[in-house]
Amino acid sequence: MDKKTTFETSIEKLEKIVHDLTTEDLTLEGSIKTYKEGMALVKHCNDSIDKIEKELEILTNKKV
Amino acid sequence: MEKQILGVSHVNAYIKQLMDKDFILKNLSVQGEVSNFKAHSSGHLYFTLKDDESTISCVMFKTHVQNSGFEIENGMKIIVLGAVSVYERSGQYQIYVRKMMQDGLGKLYQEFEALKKKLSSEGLFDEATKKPICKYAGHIGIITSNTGAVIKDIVQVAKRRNPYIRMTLYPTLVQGPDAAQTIIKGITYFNQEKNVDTIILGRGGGSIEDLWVFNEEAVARSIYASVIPIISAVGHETDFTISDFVADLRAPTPSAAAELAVYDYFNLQNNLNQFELTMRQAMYRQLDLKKKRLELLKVQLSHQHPGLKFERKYQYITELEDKIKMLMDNILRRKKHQVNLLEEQLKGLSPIQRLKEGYAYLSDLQFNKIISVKQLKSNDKVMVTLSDGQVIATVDVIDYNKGEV
Repeated sequence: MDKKTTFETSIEKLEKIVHDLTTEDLTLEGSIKTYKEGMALVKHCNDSIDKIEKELEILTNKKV
Repeated sequence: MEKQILGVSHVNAYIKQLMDKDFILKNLSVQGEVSNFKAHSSGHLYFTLKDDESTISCVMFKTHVQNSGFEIENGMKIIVLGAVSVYERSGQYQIYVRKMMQDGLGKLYQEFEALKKKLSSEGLFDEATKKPICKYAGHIGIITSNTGAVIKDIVQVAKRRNPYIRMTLYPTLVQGPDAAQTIIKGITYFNQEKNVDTIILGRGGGSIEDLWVFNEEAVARSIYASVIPIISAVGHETDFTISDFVADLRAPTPSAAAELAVYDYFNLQNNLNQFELTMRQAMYRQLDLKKKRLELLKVQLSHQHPGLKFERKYQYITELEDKIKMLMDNILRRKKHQVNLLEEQLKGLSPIQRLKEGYAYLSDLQFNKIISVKQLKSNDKVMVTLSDGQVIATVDVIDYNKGEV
């Protein structure tokens, strides 16, 4: 669950960064820092999705 | 007595005739609970009226439906006015309803309302206690029947939205007396394992009796107790159950539940790409802006350079210098001309010139000029200047020319 929360937080952070970069009057150093942070978040989000197709798992009485 | 042999239709027609003649059957009011309700596309309504012991079929034709004033549904207690007659094709007797009224509320409906009121007052439906649904779930728990369209629909929709979604089905009964216990077990299972982000509790459409397990108190309390958010998807969009009220989110159908539980992977991917692009563009623009500002400042600064001021001053000085030179030249040229003129004039008056022509300049020995004989007496020494030298002479005779200048 925590991993998912981080993912959601990452997306929210990313949205804020995009907003800041496009609307805020950042210093050059500030915008480079923000940009790097955003690119790292995009990578993080992409990497944290387990891209393996899974079949529906049906629990049987043994498992339950 | 030999019995007459009749055709089937004759029998049905005969019974119909008997019934239609009957004073009571011609016009009666019947009380019962609606079930198996079906609204035909033709506009006619078909349903069964039942009490605790038996059932009777009913039909209400379109022409009468219009003035009934309410819409009936399964479980509803109603009173119908009409006639009992035979449908000859099947030999079935049924009530031909002309008019119907609501008879208070059906028993099940009353139970439903009572439980709803009770749980509501206990706060089980409070928005504040509802858990948010995980936006980016990786693993979904599903509690429903192993067979039937519900699980298929959910899997199909979920996979379409996100091929990488992990789903676990806890198969349960979804109707009948044992259904509640299996559903509660399913909720408990996922809460113990804590391996899923969201639970979908689902069932396809059915009558109020079919859906009844989702109106049971024990199920409702189990849903409330779950620490994992539960999406309830029971029946069709128009069916509301207690489970729907107590769940963290109600989906109108099982397919909709899958849409709510599973994020759209392609959409996310698209958004991430868009974010990347937007950020890159924003960064380029920022850099461009700063660069342009820097250029502007550079130009502005160069205009303020002290060397430039000096250069301007220097230029002015040079200009002044040139001007002075020019003026000076002018003056000199003018003066020189004047001098030349004077020189020419002087040339004509020069005594030295005169001396060359035979004249002499007379002075005393101290070079004081002598212009009159009266300045002299005999034996005075005088100096005579000629063109190429001087002569000292002594005055012998003085002859004064009276009247002549």
